[in-house]
Amino acid sequence: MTTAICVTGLCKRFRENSALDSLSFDFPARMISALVGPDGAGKTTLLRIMAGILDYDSGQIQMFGEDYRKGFEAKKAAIGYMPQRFGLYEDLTVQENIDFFADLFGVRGNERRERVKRLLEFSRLDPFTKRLAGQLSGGMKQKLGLACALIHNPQVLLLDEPTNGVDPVSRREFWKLLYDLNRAGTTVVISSPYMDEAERAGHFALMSKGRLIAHGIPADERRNFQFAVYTLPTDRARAVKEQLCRRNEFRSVNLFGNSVHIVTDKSFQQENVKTVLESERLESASLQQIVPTFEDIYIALSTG
Amino acid sequence: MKLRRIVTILVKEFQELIRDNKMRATVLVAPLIQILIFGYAATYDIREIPTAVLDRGNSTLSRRLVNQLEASGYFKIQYRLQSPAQIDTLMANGSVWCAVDIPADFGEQIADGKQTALGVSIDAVNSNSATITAGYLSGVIARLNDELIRERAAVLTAAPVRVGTVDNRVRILYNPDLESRNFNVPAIIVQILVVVTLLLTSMAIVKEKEFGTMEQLAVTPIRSSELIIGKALPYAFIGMVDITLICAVAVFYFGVPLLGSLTLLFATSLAFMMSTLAVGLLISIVSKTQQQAMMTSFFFMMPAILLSGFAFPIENMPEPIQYLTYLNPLRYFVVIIRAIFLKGATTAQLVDQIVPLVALGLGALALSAIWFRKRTR
Repeated sequence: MTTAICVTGLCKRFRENSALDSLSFDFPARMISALVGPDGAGKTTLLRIMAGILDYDSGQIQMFGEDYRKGFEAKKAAIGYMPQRFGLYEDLTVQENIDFFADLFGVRGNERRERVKRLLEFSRLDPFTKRLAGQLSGGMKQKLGLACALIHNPQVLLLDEPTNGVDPVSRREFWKLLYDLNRAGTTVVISSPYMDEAERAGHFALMSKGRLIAHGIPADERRNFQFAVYTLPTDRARAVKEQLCRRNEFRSVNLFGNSVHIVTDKSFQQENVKTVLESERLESASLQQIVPTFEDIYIALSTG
Repeated sequence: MKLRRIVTILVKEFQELIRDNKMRATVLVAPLIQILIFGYAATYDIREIPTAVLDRGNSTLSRRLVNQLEASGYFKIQYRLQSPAQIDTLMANGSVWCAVDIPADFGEQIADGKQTALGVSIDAVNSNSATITAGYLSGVIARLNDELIRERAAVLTAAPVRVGTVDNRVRILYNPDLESRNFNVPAIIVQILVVVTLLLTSMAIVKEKEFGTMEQLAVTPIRSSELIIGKALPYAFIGMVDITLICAVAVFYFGVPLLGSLTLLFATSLAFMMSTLAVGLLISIVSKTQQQAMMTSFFFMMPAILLSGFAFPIENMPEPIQYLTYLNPLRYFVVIIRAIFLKGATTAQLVDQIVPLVALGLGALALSAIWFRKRTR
């Protein structure tokens, strides 16, 4: 597996706050990597540094083996970046927005005609080329943003929380577009505060407070999670959670709809959990060990 | 630097401008309304001063004085009073600016060949118009005195009287009718140009930051110098359209004479706009929001206009402030545009104004380009 972007010991401080704390990670080429973590974990900072619009304090960052600090201008052509709040010119039409970025990237001639046509079809924006960008729905705006970020056919696409605030149907469509791109050979790095997005990606990196706390393939991570996770269905989940938290015997106890998830060290057997429950006069017959969801992993690691 | 990318930005700016209703109004309608309103308002000439008269004696002579006051056109007698107390009331509530108190023995004293005094009150809240009012009043009284002397002499000597007097023959150059409008309208053109170009450009870059498009521009191959030029040119063009519009109103509607060359007027306008555009861009670069940029622009504009010499002569300012005005591009352009309009000045005559104006413009442009590069990386 080749590496698209290789980050080594990257540090970035904003005044007293450390945004990235000697972060190291290899983003595999031709894969979709999800950068997940709570707000303030440093996802945006990392993406902006990778996009070349933010300088870093120390460490190293390379794209396809070449250092960023050596002639970055040339690398701009290989990177597509869609910021968190994608800025479209709302007073320009869909077509004019795409043309604007095509002009700036110097995409011309037949290549341009074909690519614009392909991007419009691909993003299903072709019936709306004359509509002002300001009048598009949230999901359509994101797709137009994606089309603009792809106009110069970048090898690496960096997306900062592109599905934030987008309805579930549009979100699903957006991911379909990412899969299509990925199949065509584009490396995608997407950041998200949502865990389910990590599961959609082929590869994930979990960040917290500027550090990398877990990474790998989502399915592997779930199977090989270092802690045991139990679920206890109950109709008064909140009270049970409070009660168990006070016991202080588990790594964490979290609410999951009509059940609580109990995370313990693997050495802590199911029988021991039942004992604790019984001592709290809680019904323990329905306690069950489960394969952790990604959310369990996220919460266990980012709060632990 | 690539021309193609500059043109791309330029075209985009125009597209946005054309679609934005508010902007269209700011660019075309606002300057026209301003020149029309200020063209009428900006005059020092005072006419029909609201005046009250208390004629205690009601003699032939006192009536003659009141008639002459009114006939001069400067005074409008709005109140004829009965008691002195009324004067204070009317002055205090601002109903009149001037009150004339004619003593009861006014007619008798003059007929007796004695000197008599006239009580005059003037509202000097606005010291400028008070001085002018006093001047007009003295003029009317001097003429009356002159008439009285001639009449008296004629009565005494039976033969025609010859009184030797001095007649000062002043040559009034460049603005022969002493129309203060001719002096003020060119300065107003400068002010409108400042407001339009500075405000528009101060929005130019901060707008991209606020809408998040700056982030997207940063990953394209565009360079900061290309962006600066692409942003400045459309507003320079708008500035030229505006100056054409308001000069047309000044000349054809208000009849302000334009004696100098139109080419020189446009060329110096461009030189002047280099400064305002650069300052606008600079404000846009350092501001985080459009509101902030707007406030900063006003913070720059107010002193720049007040210290430009358009109303308060720079020669009368304290020395340190006079030095400060050398950094004010308006200072030079106000002199230039007045000279082109009223004196028909040529390039050679204005060279000592044009050189610092161009230097300031180039300096400000360079500064904003450097600043922008520092901020973006």
